[in-house]
Amino acid sequence: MKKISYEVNRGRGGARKKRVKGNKVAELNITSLVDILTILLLFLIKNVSMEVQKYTIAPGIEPPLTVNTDDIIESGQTVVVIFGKEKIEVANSIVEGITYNELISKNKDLQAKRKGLFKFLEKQATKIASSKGNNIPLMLIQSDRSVPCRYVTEFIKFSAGSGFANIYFATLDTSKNEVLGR
Amino acid sequence: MAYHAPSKSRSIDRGKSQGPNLVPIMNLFLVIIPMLITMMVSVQMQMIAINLPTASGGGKGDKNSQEEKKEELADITLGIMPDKFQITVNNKMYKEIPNVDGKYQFATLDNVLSTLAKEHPDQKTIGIYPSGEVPFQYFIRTVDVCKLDGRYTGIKYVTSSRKVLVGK
Repeated sequence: MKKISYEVNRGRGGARKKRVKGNKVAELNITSLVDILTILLLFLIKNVSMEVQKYTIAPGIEPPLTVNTDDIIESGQTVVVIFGKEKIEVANSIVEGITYNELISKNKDLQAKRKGLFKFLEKQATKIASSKGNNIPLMLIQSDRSVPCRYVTEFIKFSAGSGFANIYFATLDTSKNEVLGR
Repeated sequence: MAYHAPSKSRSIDRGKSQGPNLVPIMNLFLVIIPMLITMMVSVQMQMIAINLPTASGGGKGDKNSQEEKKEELADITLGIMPDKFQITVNNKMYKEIPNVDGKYQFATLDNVLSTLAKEHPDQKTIGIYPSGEVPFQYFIRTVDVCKLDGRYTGIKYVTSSRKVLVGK
């Protein structure tokens, strides 16, 4: 930090005195800060897993609670489907989501979007299955806990038809007593 | 480099060593650290797997051995009705657990399932049929109770309405 001092003498109408500029520079010692930041950086890099990013909970979703956990098949590729409060959407895709009414409706006009989604899922399943390493198409359903099961059932039938035989549900960890209501 | 005579080179100021310039690395840290902090997942998501029912029939294997195996393994189905749990074994009613004060009795279900698992120790798969109006959280909670202590490792999502034939 530069310490600057100005001295101006305007007394008795005399000429301006020469400004005196201080040249003392106090340096900030940031070495210890850099040490801390380096440790923090290494810790964060070690803990942030890119794989986990794929499976973060979608905003606005309250997943149900469970004690048990199943590991996802290693040779699989997952398509994440989000059952929001109003719509069903495929995460990170350009395909338009469908409303719950459009999922179960027998009305031909409402079924157009459903057909679009079905085709998209079918393409995804084929793409995954024919990819290098013969991956297995997996579906991860992130559903809000309040969604009635009829929609989940309907969607499972729907996705099984499009080639997804392995289905996972996203949950949050809890205790055994909470599950048993004790 | 300019030549300094030995007598002059002694007088060159070598004492002032300049420290490394840490400003660029600090700038880098200030970008990377907030980015990593935002990427960190504070709530770890779990996953629970289900199997889909497979189409029956069509096999041309050893018929006798297949039939024997079928006889050994009981077909256990757990229905989640709006007002009760309904357990059937080989399409016969095994137990009904009605709701108390509008609440599902998961602790009772746990006891019934552990008794059932002892009666059919080889059967590790259970079918679950959730009624349409049941909220999703109760279905997952039921799956969880079935999987407790590793009594049922395979959970079959029964999508057809054939389960409703019992009782209603």
